Amino acid sequence: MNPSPTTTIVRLYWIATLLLFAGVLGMLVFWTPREATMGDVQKIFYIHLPAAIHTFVACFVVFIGSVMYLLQRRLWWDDVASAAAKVSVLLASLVLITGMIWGRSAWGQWWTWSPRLTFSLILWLLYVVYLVIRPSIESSQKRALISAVYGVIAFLDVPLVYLSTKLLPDIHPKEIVLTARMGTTLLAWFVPMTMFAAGLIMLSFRINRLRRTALEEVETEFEEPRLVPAGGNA
Amino acid sequence: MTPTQYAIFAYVISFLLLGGFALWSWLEYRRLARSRS
Repeated sequence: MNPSPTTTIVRLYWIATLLLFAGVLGMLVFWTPREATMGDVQKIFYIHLPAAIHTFVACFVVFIGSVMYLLQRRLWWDDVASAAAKVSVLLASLVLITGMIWGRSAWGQWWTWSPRLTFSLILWLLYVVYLVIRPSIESSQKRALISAVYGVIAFLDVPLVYLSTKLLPDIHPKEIVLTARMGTTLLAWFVPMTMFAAGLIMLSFRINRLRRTALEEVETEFEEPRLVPAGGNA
Repeated sequence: MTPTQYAIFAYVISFLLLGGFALWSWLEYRRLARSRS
């Protein structure tokens, strides 16, 4: 059986993302200059920063999905929010792990309780808790409502992470100076990372929709049969 | 470990994490889609 046009487009999208990742990796190894003070470990920056920016974007999608659910009470928005929350956790984990490895090499320690790191860890924990509490609530509407309120509140940490280095003393640099090649590499890394994050949110959303449809079918199957009075309409 | 080794370590972990999650999501999607058809 031939795949549908949508399946072909989705496959091409993921193949393009993979090829772009291979391309930017090659660029990083063979073309991007080595930073003078830190050496090759500075090259972690090219995945660390796009992952951090896309964590914020994914958290923003959770926020939008939550607000829209509260306004419209459509479960479709809850599926959008929870799909983005999964990707938020994934990308926030990536930011924390790459940051820790970089810190170990550059500062000599895996972790320090600086404002940026602390708020980033809180952000990760907030969205992990979002995903952990959801399955414990049985009613779909109640789960969506609690998640939506939580999703709005959790987003308050995003500006705190962003502003932490600007408003408080922190081990993170306030500004980053890059050479032309370094800047080009950074911009290039944003392309596959954006495609990956967007593709993953859409895939997680499709999973959520399929799960919800399957659940609704089961619920309909086990629903009490409606009693129809003899000789009349219900 | 040298800075180069730390960088390689970070990228290996990153791609394992990203690839692992993407693969799990794709397998889960395929399982659900097949069970519906």
